[in-house]
Amino acid sequence: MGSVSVLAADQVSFEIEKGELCVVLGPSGAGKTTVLNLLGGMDKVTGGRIMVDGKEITRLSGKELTEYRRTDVGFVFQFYNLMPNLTALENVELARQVCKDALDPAQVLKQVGLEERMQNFPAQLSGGEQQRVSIARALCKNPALLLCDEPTGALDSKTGLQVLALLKEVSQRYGTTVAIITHNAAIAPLANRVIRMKSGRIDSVELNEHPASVEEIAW
Amino acid sequence: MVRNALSRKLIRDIWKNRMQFLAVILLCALGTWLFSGLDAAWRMIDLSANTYFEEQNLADLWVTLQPVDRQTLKTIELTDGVERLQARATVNMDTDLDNDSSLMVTAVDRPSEINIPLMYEGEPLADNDLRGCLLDDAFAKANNLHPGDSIGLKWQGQTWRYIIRGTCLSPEYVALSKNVVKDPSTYGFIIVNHDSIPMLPLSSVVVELSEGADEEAVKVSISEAYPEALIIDHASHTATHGVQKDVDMFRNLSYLFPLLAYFIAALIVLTTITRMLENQRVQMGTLKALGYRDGQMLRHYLSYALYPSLIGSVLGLVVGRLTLPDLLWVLEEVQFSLPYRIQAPVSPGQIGACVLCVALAVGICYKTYRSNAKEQTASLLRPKPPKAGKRLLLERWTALWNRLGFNGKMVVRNLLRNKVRTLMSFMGVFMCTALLITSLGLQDSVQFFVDKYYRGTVQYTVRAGLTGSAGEADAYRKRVDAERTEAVMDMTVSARSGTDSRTIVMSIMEDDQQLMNFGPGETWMPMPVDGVMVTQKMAEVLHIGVGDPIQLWLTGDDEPIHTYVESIASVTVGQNVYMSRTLWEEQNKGGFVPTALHVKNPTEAGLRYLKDLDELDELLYPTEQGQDTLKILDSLSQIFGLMSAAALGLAFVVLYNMGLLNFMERSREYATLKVLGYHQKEIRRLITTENNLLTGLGILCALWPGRFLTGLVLKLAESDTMVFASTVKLPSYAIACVVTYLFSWLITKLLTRKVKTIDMVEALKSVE
Repeated sequence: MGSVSVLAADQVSFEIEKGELCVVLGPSGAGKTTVLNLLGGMDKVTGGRIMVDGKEITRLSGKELTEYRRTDVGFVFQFYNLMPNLTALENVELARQVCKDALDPAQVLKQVGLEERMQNFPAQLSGGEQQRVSIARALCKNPALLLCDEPTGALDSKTGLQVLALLKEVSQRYGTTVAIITHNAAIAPLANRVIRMKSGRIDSVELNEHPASVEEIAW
Repeated sequence: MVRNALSRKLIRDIWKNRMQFLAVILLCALGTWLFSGLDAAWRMIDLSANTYFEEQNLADLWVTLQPVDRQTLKTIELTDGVERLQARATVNMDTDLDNDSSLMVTAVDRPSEINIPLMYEGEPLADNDLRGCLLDDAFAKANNLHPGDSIGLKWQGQTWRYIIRGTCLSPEYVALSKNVVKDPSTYGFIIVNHDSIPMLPLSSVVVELSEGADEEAVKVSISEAYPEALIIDHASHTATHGVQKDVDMFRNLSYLFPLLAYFIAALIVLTTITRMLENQRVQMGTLKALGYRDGQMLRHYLSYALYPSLIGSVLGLVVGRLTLPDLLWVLEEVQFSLPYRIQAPVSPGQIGACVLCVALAVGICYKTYRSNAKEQTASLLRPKPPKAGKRLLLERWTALWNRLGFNGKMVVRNLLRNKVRTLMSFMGVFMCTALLITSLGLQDSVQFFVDKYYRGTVQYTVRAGLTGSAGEADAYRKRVDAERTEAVMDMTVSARSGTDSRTIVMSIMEDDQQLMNFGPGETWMPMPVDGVMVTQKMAEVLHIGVGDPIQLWLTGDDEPIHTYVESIASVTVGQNVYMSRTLWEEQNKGGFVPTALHVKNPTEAGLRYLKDLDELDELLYPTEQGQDTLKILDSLSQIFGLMSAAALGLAFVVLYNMGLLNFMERSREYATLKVLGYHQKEIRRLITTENNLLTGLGILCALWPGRFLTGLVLKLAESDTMVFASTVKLPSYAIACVVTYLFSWLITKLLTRKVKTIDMVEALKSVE
């Protein structure tokens, strides 16, 4: 597996190594979401190149982009985006439906600590639990890249920390590249790589030799 | 300033939700259109006919008795409550035109002050005019006759020539027909002075009652003086009774169909307005937080329902009044000759329908608004928590549930999550299929009716009507070269049972007749031996059944035939009594003189022999008669077409609107699926499966109700002389199902096109 690199038209370019936990940090309007959309194959660039795992996704057709989202990328949404009329297990199965070599949904839910809540509907779960289902849904596809859009944005700090711990564990245990997009600077110490954005440009890219553990950070 | 900003918001909201508003407008319009249209139609028919009857002074009573002499006239005239009367002779005579036409001759003994003819062309008939006549305007037009032309009437071997002074319509002959439907080219009426043909015996008296007279008392005194007299009042005269029957039918329809339409409209309005207000939740909270008073907000939000429902129902009212009465009038013209139509003024019922429609919409809106406004401002500002998913009863049945597959499970859960929406779409499909089946079924039933009578009941190839100078029945049988020849003697009698009485045709037939099949199917029903056989309608109008006594009064006879009903013929046309030749001859009321011959498969020689008969009146071929009946009943297809169009229109509005709501409601879910890597095709398949399931279910459930509705409409439409059996043929079911399915498929196609437009970025936004 090669490295992940981003080239942006506004002369934003950065790269993320495989297996890294990367935090893209910046205030609102800094262009974080644009970066996320581009990385996730949800938007198209007007110029420049994005390479993921040796694949130039900027040159993919709409269908190929869908295929890319289907197999290579996992999404974790700020508002979880679970199907309200599917149980936790079925929400995870939703991902398995479209992915060829998916993991066993029940197994993944067990790993995120929701063994007991598998048969519950989203409305019966707390925010943190819902976000864990959302992560399980993303992980089930065994993606090369896990994109998280403000994963803790709708959670209280304690639950938020639990979710972050889970994400960190995922990147360490499976070697999944995790990109967390957030405005919350407190998360930055967790990452191997911190990309700070401001007004649509890269402000700085920082490498963290010794990322902090979840217990060490707080907000 | 404040109101200005709010009303600008209102206008923009309406524009944003224009499809929903349009749906509310259309559905309110559809409901009031049907109701006010049908309401205006029956009022128009009622008003037009009654004005006509009033203006032309339609008789209150028709008294048929023989002989009508000076003494009789005096007695009736002096009866308490009788204002004035007119004696006449009425008889059918053939014309000298070469189209086998005949006319109902009405020879009057004095100028018409009762049943005044409404003049079209020419001059009224002068009192002392012994050469002139007034001719039925429709007959004159169909035969290209004008005032100044002459017409000959054949009676007792002589031709009586009259000069047409004028053409007219008569209020007592609005429903004049020899067959099932009127045919003005071969049958009409003619009015002459009795002095011009004095040997024709006066046979009836028309009576006008004085103001406030007791009709029943007059009837009783006349029948006490003349027990053999047949008295007909408005309730049983073909003119008034027929029109009233149609008025009743349209009035009944005006309650039935709009009720269904209103039901659908109310549900659609409910879902649409509830959804729109729920989408406004956060904005409501914002307005409240900004300090808007309750009254201001209420006014604003009620406008959501008020304007579309008001526009819709008034539109429906206007369009309904403009379209439906005219369309239904065409149907009336098939049966009745009414000279003019008078648009009835807007009735309280029509206004009521609009008010009800608006009240319903505003009421629903108010209730939704209240339930939202009850909440605290702060909680309003937070989005409503999503509706929780639920375990279904179906899931307990694991064997089936596990077999459903992932998409299947999702579809089923979705359908049951938003029950109102599901129910609405289901109802849309259901109504569409049921109405289509009904409209096709009505055509099947009319076709079946014609087939049953002209191919099932009637077994002869040709019927030869004979004039008075016919010979011996057996002689004809020997001389006509055919598979079978039977003689029939038809006569007009007054049939009475208890207080009910009707003037009907009695047919005396050979004991072993085989050319009329009276059985319900293939089973042969023999001619009665000791009693008589009556048709279904006859039994119905006289309220008699098998074994009940019946009196048959021959014209001019003072002692009736007392007999009983031995069997009921399954004949769909006419009020008739059938008697065997043997029983007739036992009555000593006269010989068996054929008035018609039923002939089966005549050879060419046989047919030529019939044609050359001096006493031949006309030859009738059942196959041709059936075709003619069908052709004229074709005008009914306008109504069928209208119903089908309404059904499809309704289905379109409901299905499209509900589909759109569903799509918008779940666009976030679809966006998420798209982000997760679902292909557009897969998302489209989800929507298609869901709609197909609903459509299939709706179609299946509508099959029986469609049939039922066909029967109901036929029952309402049934006239006094016809019995319709409701029949829906298999192809009609198939067509209705396929058309509905294709329609739903088309709408699904329209909706799934929107999948392309789903913006994945939607998925990232917060719930609003």
